[in-house]
Amino acid sequence: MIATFAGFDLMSTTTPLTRFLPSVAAIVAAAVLTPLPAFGILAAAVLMVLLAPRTFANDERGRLDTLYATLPISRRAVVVGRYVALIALYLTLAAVGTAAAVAVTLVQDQQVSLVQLGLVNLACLAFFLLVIAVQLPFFFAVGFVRARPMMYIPVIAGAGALWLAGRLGLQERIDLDALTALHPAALVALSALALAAAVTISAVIAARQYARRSL
Amino acid sequence: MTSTAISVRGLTHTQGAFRLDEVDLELPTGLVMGFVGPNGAGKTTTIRALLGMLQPDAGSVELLDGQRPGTAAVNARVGAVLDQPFLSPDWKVSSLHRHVGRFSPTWDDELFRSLLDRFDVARDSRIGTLSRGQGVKVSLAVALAHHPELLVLDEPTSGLDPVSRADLVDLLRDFMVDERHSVLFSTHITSDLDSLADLMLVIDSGRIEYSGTLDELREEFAMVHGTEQLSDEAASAILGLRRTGARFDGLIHTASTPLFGPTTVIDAATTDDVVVHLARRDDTRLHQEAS
Repeated sequence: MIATFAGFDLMSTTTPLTRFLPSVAAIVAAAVLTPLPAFGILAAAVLMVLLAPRTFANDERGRLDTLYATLPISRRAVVVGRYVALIALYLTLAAVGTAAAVAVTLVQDQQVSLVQLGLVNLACLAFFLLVIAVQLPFFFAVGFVRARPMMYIPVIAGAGALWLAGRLGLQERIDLDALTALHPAALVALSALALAAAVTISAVIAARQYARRSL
Repeated sequence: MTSTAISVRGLTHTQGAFRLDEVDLELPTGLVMGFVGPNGAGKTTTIRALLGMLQPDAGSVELLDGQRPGTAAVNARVGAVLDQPFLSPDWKVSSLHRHVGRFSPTWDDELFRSLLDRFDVARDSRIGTLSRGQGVKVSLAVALAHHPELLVLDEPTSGLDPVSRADLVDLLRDFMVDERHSVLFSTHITSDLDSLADLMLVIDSGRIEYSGTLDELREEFAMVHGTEQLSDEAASAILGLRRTGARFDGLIHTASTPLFGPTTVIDAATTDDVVVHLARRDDTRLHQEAS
């Protein structure tokens, strides 16, 4: 039922196409019009951070939480299905961004740096997953309208923390050598593990909150 | 043993100033229960609790022979039409099998399409463009298309014209041909229940005021009208007493009939009379306390 709900959620988010295609166009435009073609991947992450709360806005607009409560599907499946759908949608849009970046680089007759594309993809995926890991439990707990500030708070808080770290010179105290000393595969595996843990904990909290919510 | 479609015991739920107060409800399988009461009486809250949409403060709710409400297994056997449609305004009627039907292994697309035709709903319309009445019809078609055993209807006829209401009642009669089926039907339009309901549940201010058969309801209550001076005992026996000049009217329990003199007219009460006067009773009490 998780896959069924994820498929339903993907269809609901991407239709009508006239509302979804501008997002794809924006990603391609970011790759074409900015100095770095990899900006298309960053655009995909930013768009998805904004798109994720919109799925909850659509739920409230169509009273779909009530629909889910009457369907033969558990609330846990709704929660996990939404995480799966959002991650699948992000990966699709990130693939569009990556393809656009590769195409633009080739058209400009430059060398495609797979390492750079991989790092940008990893950083953007981490950014997207961390933001939804913070946002989604709030939206499941109280719905879109009451949790609306969570659309911006994680991004603002993250940016604020980075700014503060810069002001305090914290980046100079971090031992980057220790990180670079790791094998790239180990670094990717560690990052993947940390992100998977963050998303899993977030989904567990969201499922508990949604189970308690009056619809 | 008689099987039970709905069993609610001591259901209590507080929401702001409103309190649902120890509601009991028992619907045996194979029967239709009418659920009536004024606005804000607690019908929708009760229905949401028995669909598992809210967590009650106390009490128990069981559906279809002792199962917990709101689980996937129970929802597969229950159809619900609530006071407002719960389908995305962007969806086309013709695409509902893809949006909703995918969740139900028993979804019958042929039945769904035949219900849309019966209700005269254009399949290429978007949900957002439908009138309230058409929205209710689509919701009903969705609820029936997965062959539920229990239908829970919250004010389904309130947006419908008389022809559509009659058609809906006919449809429910067809549904009840199968003796495994049951219906809980909340409505303001009590005439819809006259030829359909086996049982009646009257709720007011979060409390169940009457539970029994429709015939017993008519036997239990009567309307009194008159101009005579009422004794204190007779006046206190009248529920929702209304005085207009020298005239009075109100609802009584038929057991109170001997309290009234020969000039008082006593008529059979309709379901509407019972709902109206039970709701007015609280106003009368407040008025009496104030004076």
